[in-house]
Amino acid sequence: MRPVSGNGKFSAELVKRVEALWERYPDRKAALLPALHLIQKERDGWLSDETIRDAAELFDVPDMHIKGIVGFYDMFHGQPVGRHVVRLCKTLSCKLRGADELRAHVREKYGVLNGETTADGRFTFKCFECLGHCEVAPMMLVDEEKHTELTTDKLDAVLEALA
Amino acid sequence: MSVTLTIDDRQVTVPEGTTIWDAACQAGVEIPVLCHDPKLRPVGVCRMCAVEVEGARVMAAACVREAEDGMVVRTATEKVERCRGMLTELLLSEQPKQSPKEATTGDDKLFELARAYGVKVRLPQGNSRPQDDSSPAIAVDHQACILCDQCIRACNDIQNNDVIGRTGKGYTTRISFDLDNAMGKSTCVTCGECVAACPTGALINKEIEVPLRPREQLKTVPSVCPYCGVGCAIDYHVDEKENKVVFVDGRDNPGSGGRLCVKGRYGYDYTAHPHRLQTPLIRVDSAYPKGPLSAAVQSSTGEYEGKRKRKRKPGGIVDYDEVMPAFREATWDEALDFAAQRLREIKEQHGGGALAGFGSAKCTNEEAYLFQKLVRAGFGTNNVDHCTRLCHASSVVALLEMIGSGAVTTTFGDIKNADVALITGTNTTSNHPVAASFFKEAARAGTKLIVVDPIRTGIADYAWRFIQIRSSTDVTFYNAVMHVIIEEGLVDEAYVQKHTYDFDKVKESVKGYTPDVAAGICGVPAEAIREIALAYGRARAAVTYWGMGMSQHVYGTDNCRCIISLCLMTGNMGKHGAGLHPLRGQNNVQGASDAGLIPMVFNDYQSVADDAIRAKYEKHWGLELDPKPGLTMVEIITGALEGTVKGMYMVGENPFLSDPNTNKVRRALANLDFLVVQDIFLTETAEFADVILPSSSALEKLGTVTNTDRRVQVVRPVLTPPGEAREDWRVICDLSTRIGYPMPYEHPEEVFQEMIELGGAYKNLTYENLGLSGKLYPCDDPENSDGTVVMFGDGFPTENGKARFVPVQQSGPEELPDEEYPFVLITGRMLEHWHTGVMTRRSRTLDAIEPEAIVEMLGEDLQKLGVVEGDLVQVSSRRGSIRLKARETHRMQPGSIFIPFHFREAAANVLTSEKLDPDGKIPEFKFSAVKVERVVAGAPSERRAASGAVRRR
Repeated sequence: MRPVSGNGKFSAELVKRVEALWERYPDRKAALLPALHLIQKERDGWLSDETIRDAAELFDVPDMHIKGIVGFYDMFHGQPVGRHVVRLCKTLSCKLRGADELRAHVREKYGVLNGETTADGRFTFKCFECLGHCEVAPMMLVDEEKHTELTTDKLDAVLEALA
Repeated sequence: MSVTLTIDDRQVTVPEGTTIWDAACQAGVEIPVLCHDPKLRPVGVCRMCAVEVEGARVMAAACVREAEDGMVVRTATEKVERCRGMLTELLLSEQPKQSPKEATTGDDKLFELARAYGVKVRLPQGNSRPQDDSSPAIAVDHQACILCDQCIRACNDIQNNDVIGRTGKGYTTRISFDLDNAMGKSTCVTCGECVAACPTGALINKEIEVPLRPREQLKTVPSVCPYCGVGCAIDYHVDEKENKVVFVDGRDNPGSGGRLCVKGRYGYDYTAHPHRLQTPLIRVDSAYPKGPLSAAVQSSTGEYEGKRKRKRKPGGIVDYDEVMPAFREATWDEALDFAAQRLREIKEQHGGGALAGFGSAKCTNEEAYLFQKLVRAGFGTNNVDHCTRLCHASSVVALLEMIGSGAVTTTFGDIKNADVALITGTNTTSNHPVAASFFKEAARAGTKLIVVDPIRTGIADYAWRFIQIRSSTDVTFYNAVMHVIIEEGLVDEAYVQKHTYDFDKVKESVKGYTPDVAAGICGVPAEAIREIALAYGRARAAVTYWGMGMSQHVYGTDNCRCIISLCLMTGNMGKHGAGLHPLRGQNNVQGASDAGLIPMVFNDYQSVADDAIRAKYEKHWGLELDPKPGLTMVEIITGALEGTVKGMYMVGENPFLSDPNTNKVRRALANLDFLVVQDIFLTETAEFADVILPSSSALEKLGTVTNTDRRVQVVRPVLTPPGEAREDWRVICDLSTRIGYPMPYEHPEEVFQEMIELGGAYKNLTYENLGLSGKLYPCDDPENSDGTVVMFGDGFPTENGKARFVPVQQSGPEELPDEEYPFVLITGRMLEHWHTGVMTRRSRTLDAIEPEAIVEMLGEDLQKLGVVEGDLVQVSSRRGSIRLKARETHRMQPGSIFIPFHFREAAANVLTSEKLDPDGKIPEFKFSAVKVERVVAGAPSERRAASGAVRRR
């Protein structure tokens, strides 16, 4: 409906990429999921209410439409996150191969429970549903990189290397 | 193409694409549903409507599955029933033990199903989901929610408000408001459509006046909403013993479609307010000489401050304790005799011209007709007017002059047939919320809304193009649009040739208005003007809706002439999706005008100056009538001030707050020799009365009202008037008889038929054939037709049958902002309040949502003044000043502010000017030069913390 070429709230680069996404779908709304990933990245890794309003304006949809998406999909964050997001798989294969122990280790060593961020803001820890790598369980996803066949040592090495 | 299928051994033939559920309805087979309603798009989430289809692998949800030819459907097999029982049990297992709905209005569909299936809950009942009590009208119980989506569709698809969505997942999934806010902190406009849709107890009405009880235990009276001109159909559910409305439902009719807004759904309890006047009152001798009685009315004008040292209450409605001692109770006989005697004396001493009457657009057609008859025949003058003078007088003048008829040529619902809809000078979402819901719906379906307004109104959010023009540059803007249409050859020459004259004059007059010239004046890009002209000019059908933003100017008539010319030159008349529609502000402003509550015309717009017409009335009414058109509203007030008007009768009108320049009105009212006020409450105006007559509210009488669409509807007595209060039509008749002009009517319909006899617009209509849904007049065949949607398919009711073009040039407002008064003030209404607030401020819910006077302005303007939201500011014009709270908005332009006129403690009309449009005699409510000053001390940041959060709209 409305001719949108950005609403001045996002970088020109992002708007260009969103516009490219719009080309690929019959209606703009359909591009919301990939677009929200881009937006989340540009806005410090999470989608604040203010960001949601800006995005709703860009897409010409009601605020609550995007709020619902953010609430439903685990990879969108409605709360501030650390500099990195660590997603530890908790589903069956990983669980059988020691995910629970890894979880307990993270709690003990780094002081964070599921959903919490370390005091130094280094990372947010999340226990996640199946991430699709049962053959190399237990595994975790750090930002967009996967780490497989984890042990506590291996996990520590990865987490300590995070900036 | 149609398909034939068998449902429970009954054959039924339906059009292709019909769902099994709809086909079953047609076949008379009932299939239970929780998530579906015929008004809503089906989503198939509750699965309660699952049926067996022969040969199918699994059961099908009847509400979404399309019927197929030869399909054999069974809706009540043992398997189906078992599934439904199980589903009911699962849903019930998470419900609260008692349904919140059954404890209130009744009709909890889930609990009804549970009883029907004999479901006993074996599973544990959940109780961990939250409740949300933040809305003043609606209680949310997430535990009772079954996520059927009906409220979401009611909010988004029916009312098009886009507030409710859902958030979370799994067990924590819940309906949510905006960004998952509490309902009362969201942008929810409290229309209650979600409550009406909710099949369980998740969304319920809160108690307002009397404890809520199921419909079955109450008397239900079908009537019409007493507020705006949309005239929504309502079912009132009444506790007869208490004589109070318990709650209401929207009633389906072709106009409003069962929709309501916050005022209609929750604003009925004013009728039972303890302030209702119950006995006639006569002013006591010690209360003369007359003047305002309450401190608030004294000080609202700024003149009395400091003179009296009474303790002043902060704001609110008239303080009865202050005012009542000036009056004593009287019997009806005494009060009516006294009023009749004094009015007669004035007439005898000074002639009929020294008397005047203000009728009301809130009363019925019959009452309006009787009132003008009383003034014309009883008083012997045409000095009779009502608040149409303050809203659409200029529109009506322009319409009568150009197309020969003052009423709308189309309905608000017909927007669905328009390609383009021009919506200008109307804050429809606040002032005609249900009409706005149809506009928004049309926008969703592809109608291009062009919104032109100096305020970014709510409807602008749904616009294809929104043009925020500079205040008071409308004539330039529309002349430029017409300029482009002519230049581009988009004039409908055939239409102009056949149905109009004087087009050349307009062609000539818009020549100089190029988009580039207009751009500079209106403050919008020339390209935008061109684009809009092309869209309007090329549209197959374009319709125009306008409101007070066009009419309430000293050149309001010119504004309206422009949009009428635009409509005529593009041939957008006499067909669906086209035409002209001034949105009427009050429940019966159309009808009151039709009934002749106007100084120049009898009912049906028949001129009092026309000898033949007057002779007809003289014969029927049996006496000689004044041939001179009477004074208009503001002229009458001026007459009172100057002493030429000495006696007045006012019914349901509150000029103290509604008329421009309150200081002048106050002096004028005090100057009257004799004033009779007939109202349901002690209004600010009644403080100046000699006699006060207690009358009936819109919910306490029988009669007809005519909405903005020309829909004539019957209003029925829902309650009995309190105490000795009487129906207005009876009081008018009694007073007339005592003045010496007997009015022996027994029933309102006699009056209705007399109206029709003397003026033919409502021809063929009777109370009986108006029925529950009413009719759009003119209606040739009331038995079979809903009446006329599209007017003037072939010519106009003018002398030569053609419409006349009237050229206009831009003129300026009366006073421009200057260094001393740098802001432009626009006055208007809020969603929750109506007119002078006499009714809405006595409705608990409405008052709870918007309890105090505010001025809306941009954040940047607030900042410049060093003011934060919630601060007290003083707004002054050359005529007076008021104090009220600042509210930040994104909807105004820099340098322009908005003040609603509902609040007497900060009466907006203290600031406005009484300068009039020369043709429509309408005052300039939409443009005054004012200054804004901050009142409080302290740093802005500290105050912001104290003022708390305010809703964003």
